This record gives sequence, C-alpha cells and structure tokens, in this order.
Amino acid sequence: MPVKSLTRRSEISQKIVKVALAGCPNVGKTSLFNALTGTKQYVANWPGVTVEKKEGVFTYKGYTINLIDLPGTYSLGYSSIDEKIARDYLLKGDADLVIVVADSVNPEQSLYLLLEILEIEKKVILAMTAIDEAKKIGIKIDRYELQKHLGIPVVFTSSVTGEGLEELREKIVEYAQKNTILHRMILDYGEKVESEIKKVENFLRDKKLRINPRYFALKYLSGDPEFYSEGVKLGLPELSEEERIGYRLLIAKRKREYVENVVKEAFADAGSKSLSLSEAIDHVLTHKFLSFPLFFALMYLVFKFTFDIAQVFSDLLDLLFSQLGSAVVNTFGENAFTSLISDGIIGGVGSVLVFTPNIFAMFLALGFLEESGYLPRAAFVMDRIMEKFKLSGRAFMSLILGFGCNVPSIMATRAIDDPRERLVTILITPFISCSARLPVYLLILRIFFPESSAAMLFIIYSLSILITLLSSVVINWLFYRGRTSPLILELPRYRMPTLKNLYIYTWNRGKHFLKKAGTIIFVSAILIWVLSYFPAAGDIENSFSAMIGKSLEWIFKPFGYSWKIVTSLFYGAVAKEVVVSTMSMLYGFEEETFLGAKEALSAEMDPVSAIAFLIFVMAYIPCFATIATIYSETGSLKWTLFSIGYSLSIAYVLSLIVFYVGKLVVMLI
Amino acid sequence: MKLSRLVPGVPARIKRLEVSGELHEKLVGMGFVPGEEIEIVQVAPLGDPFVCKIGNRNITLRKREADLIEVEVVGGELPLILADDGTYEITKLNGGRRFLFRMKNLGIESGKKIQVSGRRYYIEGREIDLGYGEATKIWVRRVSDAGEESHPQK
Repeated sequence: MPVKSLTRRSEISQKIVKVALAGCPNVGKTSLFNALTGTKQYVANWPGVTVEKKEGVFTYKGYTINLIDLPGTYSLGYSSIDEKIARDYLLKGDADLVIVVADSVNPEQSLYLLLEILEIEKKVILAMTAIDEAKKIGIKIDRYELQKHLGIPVVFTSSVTGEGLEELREKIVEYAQKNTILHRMILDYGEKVESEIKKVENFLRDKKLRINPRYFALKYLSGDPEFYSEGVKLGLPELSEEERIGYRLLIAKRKREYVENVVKEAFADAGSKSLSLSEAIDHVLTHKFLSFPLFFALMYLVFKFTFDIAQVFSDLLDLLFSQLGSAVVNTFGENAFTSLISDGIIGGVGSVLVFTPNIFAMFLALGFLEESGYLPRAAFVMDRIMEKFKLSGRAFMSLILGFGCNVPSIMATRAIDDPRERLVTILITPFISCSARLPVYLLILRIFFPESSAAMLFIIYSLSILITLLSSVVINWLFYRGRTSPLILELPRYRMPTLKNLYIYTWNRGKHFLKKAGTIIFVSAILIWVLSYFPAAGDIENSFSAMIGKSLEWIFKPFGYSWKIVTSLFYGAVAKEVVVSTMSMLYGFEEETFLGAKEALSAEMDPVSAIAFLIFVMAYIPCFATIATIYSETGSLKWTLFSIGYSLSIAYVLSLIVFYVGKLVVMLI
Repeated sequence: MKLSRLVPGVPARIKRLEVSGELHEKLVGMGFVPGEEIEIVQVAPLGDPFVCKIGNRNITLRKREADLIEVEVVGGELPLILADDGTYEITKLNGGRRFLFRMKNLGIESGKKIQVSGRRYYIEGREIDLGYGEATKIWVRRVSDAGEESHPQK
C-alpha cells in the first residue's frame, strides 16, 4: 500500500503544468482566470521581489494545472513594475506554456502583445475571450485563418457562458505534452533590420545566453533599456539615439501591419456595433458637463450602498453578538473566564465583525466600478484635477481602491510608470479612509450625531480626500519637483460585470477582513483583555491598559480625552478596528450594546471632541498591514518611517485645529 | 501640425514623433507609429486629456504628450480652424439653425471661397470675425496657395 501511494504521488508530480496567463489590462484576463480556477486562488510573492503574485490551481485529466496570473500590460516594455514582472517571468520564469488573452471584439492591442510574446519563443495558446459578445454583434472570426497566420492553437472562450473552457483545458494538457513548439512564426522585418539581426545573432552565438538571440537582437536594436545596455556590455556597438528610434519604429510598424493584416483576414465586421454602443456610453460618462456630476453621483451611490443598505445586516449582527455575550455570562456566571470570553473575545472581535456587511458592500461596489471598465474613464475625467496636485489619473485609479483597503491600493500603484509618482502615491494612500476605519466612525457618529451621521461621514471622507491630495503637494514640494507620468491608457469597452466575477472580487478582498478578525483582532482582543484585566483582577482603573493610557494622557490633554480613549488609540495602531474593540472592552458596554456605549462615551466626549477624535483616527497612522506593504513596495525603511511620522503629526495638528475651531463655533452659536 | 492642435472628428495621420527615450518606446508600444491614422474622439471636461482613436482602439493622451506628435490631416477637407494660410472653398457647415443663420449673415455658405492669412479670415476681400467654435464647424477644402489670389493686407 505505501509503495503504491508513493508511485502515484510521483506520477502526479510529473503531471504538473505551469501556465502563465498574459494579456493587456481590461481584456477579461481576470474573468478567464476566475472561470478556469474558480475560487481556488492564492497569493504568493514573485521571486526576488516581495510583490504579490496571483496563482490558481485546477486539475484536468489527471494533470494539475498551475495558473499564474501575470500583470496586465499593453506591451513588453520595461518601464512600469508590472511590465518588468510580466516580461521577466516570460523570459526567465518556469512556465511550461503561456496563454495570451485577447478580447474578441477589440483584439488589436492584444495581438500586438501576442507578437511580442511569440518572439520570446515559448509555447503559446491564444484565447479569444468574450466570444459570446462578438457573436451577438455579428463579428465572425475565422479560427483557421488566425492559426495559419499566428502558427499557434487558438481557442474561442467566454467566461460568461463557459464556452470553450473545456477545449482550452484540453489544449493546455495536449500542448504541454508536446516537446516542440507547433510552428515557429518568424516576422520578417525587411532587409535592413534583418541584416542587423543576423550580425547581432552571430555575435551572440558563443555568448551562451539563456535568451533567444533573435529576441535579444530585436530588443537591443530598438534600444530597450535592459537589453541595449546588456548588449553594449557584451561588446555590441553603441547605437545613436536616431538609429535606435529608427529600428524601433521599423519593428513596431511591421508588427502593426501584421496585426492589421491578421484582423483583415480573420475578422468579418470588426466590432462596429458594440464599439458604437461603448462610445455612446462614453459620450455621456466622459461628457464635458455631465462627467463630473455623474462621477460624484456614482461615488454617492457607492457610499449610500455601503452605509444604508448594508446597515440593516450590521444591526442584526450587533444584536446577535450582544445576546451571545450576555448568554455566556448568564450561563456560566461572572468570573475571569467568562469575562475573557464575553468581554474579551465576543466583545472585542464581535464589535468589529458587526461591520462585515458594510465592508463587503464597499468591495462589491468597488468591484462593479473596476469590472465594468468605468475606472479608466474616471481616471480620464479626473486627470486634470489630479495634475493640480502633482498626480495623474493613473494614481487616481489606485487611490480610489483605497476606500476598500489601503493594502491592495498600494499594490495597484505598480502600474504607475514614473517611480517618483508611484512613491508619492504610496505615501499618501494611508490618508484614504479605508473600510476598517468605518466601524470607528459609525460607532461615534451614531452616538453623537444620530440625526446627521451621513452628512458628518461625508465631511470626514471629503477631509480624507483633501488631506490625501494636499499631502501629495507637500511631499512633492519637500522632495521632488517633477512632472507626473503621462496618462496613456486604452479605454476598454464597457462590460456588464458577471455575478461570478463580482462574487470572487468581493470575497477575495472581504475575506481579508474576516481573516483579520480571526487573527490580528482576535489575538489583540485577548491581549488587550489580559492587559485590561490584570494585574488588578478586573479592576480596570488599575490595569496595565490604564497605565499605558495614563502615561500617554498628557499628549491628548488639549482634547480632554480620558485614558480609556487614549488606550484605544494606542491599541488601534495595530488595525483601526481595534479602536472599537478596545473601547468595547474598556467601557464594558457590549452588555447593553448601543445604549451602554452611548452613556459611557457621552460622559467623556462632547460632539466637538468626538469629531476631533474621528479626524485623528482617520489620519493618525497606517495600520500594521499597510506599514508592512509600504515597506515591501518601497523597499525603504526611511520612507516607511516618514509615512508614520508624517501621518501622526498631520493627524495631531489637524484634529487640534478642528477641535479649537469647533469650540469657537459652539461658543458663538 | 501638432496632434494637440487637432480638433475632434478630423481624421489625421501620424507623421513623426518628436520625442525620444522611454516615452518614445511607450508611445510606439501603444501604436503611435508614423503612418497610422488617428482621430480625436473625446476631450475631457477641463480640456485635457483627450481620447484619440487609432484603428479600433481608444487611447487617452495628455496635451503635453500630444505636443510631441506631428500629424497631418488626411483627405482634402478640414475644419477652418486647422487651415494654414491659403485659399479654401467652403464645403460644409456643421451646426444648428442659429449657427447657419449667423453664417449666412456673415456671407459664409457652401461653395464660397475663403482666404486664411495669419489666423484671420477673408471672404471677397472682407475680413470676417469668427470664434474658435465657429471655425471648427466650418469645413473647407484647399484650392490654392496663399498669395495667388490677392487679399487685403493686415
């Protein structure tokens, strides 16, 4: 028996196929990834760099297929981090084959990228996605023409109807078994370029490069920053800027011509109808006068959805946890153990979990904006305004994701070409009020501003955006005086997000929050309970937490905050939700839930100091996860420390201003 | 003519890119290659950036980058605003009834000749005052070079 299982295992290990998924941004690459792998996805790091890498696994006919989602890129240049990751993996990675994803309705840029990838000489399969939409609007694609011209297997797929997925799986397994590339398609670049390529190839013959010499030659001639300098280092002649530009244009032109020819031969009625619909929508959404109001209306809808609709479920959860807490105490009596369970764990974790519906709703709304193709339009409309703040529309796209969570938002900055703009965007992201700060706002606002909490929330969010933008100006002024990177994006056609994709989008991000509640929040809840219960056996006034709070109380003297609030802020540096769970524990108000909290807190704060408190929470420090991400994405301790120091001082000064102005206003009325 | 001067709806062709380095590579990768047809399809609310169409693709671009791309209008017809010095024939007027009424009062009609000289416009020797918007709605075709027909000096 053991022997048998051993052989079986080794057999399986031989049947692992590594497949890289490449494609332009917004062509439906993620949809195809989701359709192939379902929810079996996990996140790893790219070798060498601590940059997130998405992988998924599925099995087919005894094969385990490991699917790697490469970052979406328009071409295989070498300017943004996304491009570098994708290209390095295609050149040096261990993928057995590559699937290039192309949009069936609008395939030009995808085919251009495909021609670049083919030159690396990997096994490639072309997946023409959204074939159902192409059919619907009467586009006919001749698969055999495509295969003839490109020399690779072509599969028509639809992530919506599931068409072609089975065939794609079959092709992956079938092609992976073959030892050779089906057919080598070599683009002829004309006499001038070809003779130069020959020269470079001859020169490289004895250099034992791991990279295909023809690819090397093409990149060297067109002055690619990586290959040109490497070529010169190896002893190839230096080329003048004009020469490099000349070759680059000849090579690109030839590729474009080839793509044009392929599209002409293989496509009948290339998508005029769908594109005209997309253009009609664009006419409204990017309209001269309508686009701004529409943008703000959409944002308002996102917030309305997040707060109002999800609130019903939050209230239900709140009730559930408070019942649970008192049930524990009622059943087992009041002692240290039940205090840990009900005050510590149920109170601490529960007070955070209550906001799960709001957070999932926020991600659902953001997922809709991202999947539908609206985000690049918003970037386009807002670009000019962002430029005033030394940012670009591209930075805007990553910042807006920060309303969900700052961590993916900081990761999304990888698509920003200009390293300085990217750094500035990373440093200002923590001021975008993420969903983890919501619990604090909602708790405080419901106590002090029950009538106008929506309006107050709007003010806090506006302030958060303002600080974010002004910080960009400040950081630019302090350290750089550069220009923002150019905004060169292909606007994808609009797409109706499928339920499956929205579900995966929301779940993949929302589960982070649940995981956090089960790990960081859970552990910190126990820790905080221990610190608050001991050494005085439940006498909170003499606990360790009280000592911490009291020793820091002087900092918040101007605001008149008690040590309990100070302690909450101190613990909240781990994750903003912890502010709520700490308060819940210190005030012990989970027993009577909302009413108890109201009584306890309104004795210590007035509306003005409550607002100052919220402003402080909004800005004061990036949470641990964000700090770790800032560190891994910038690779710089200096900038990470800067981010912490900067946000702490901004938060303090700002809330102080709000506090005194507020007091003045109250006095005057 | 620079791409940044082009107005929406006028098909043009890329002549050359006056840029080098990384930005050149980026633009070429996105299809800004000499010989390609290009048209501006949408301008952002604050006048910048804009969307241009190359083939079937819509690509965003800022004025600053568009300043570096040299284009020429294809086909014989172009809006008056893009016309260099010379004599042109008016081919069509793209506008509503009020616009057409005002044009008629100014003596601007299809088939008439109009002279362009240093951003000033003359019909039958008379100088005509046209706004930017109006000059984009009047389409013309070049009939001869400047100087062949006499027009009053500024």
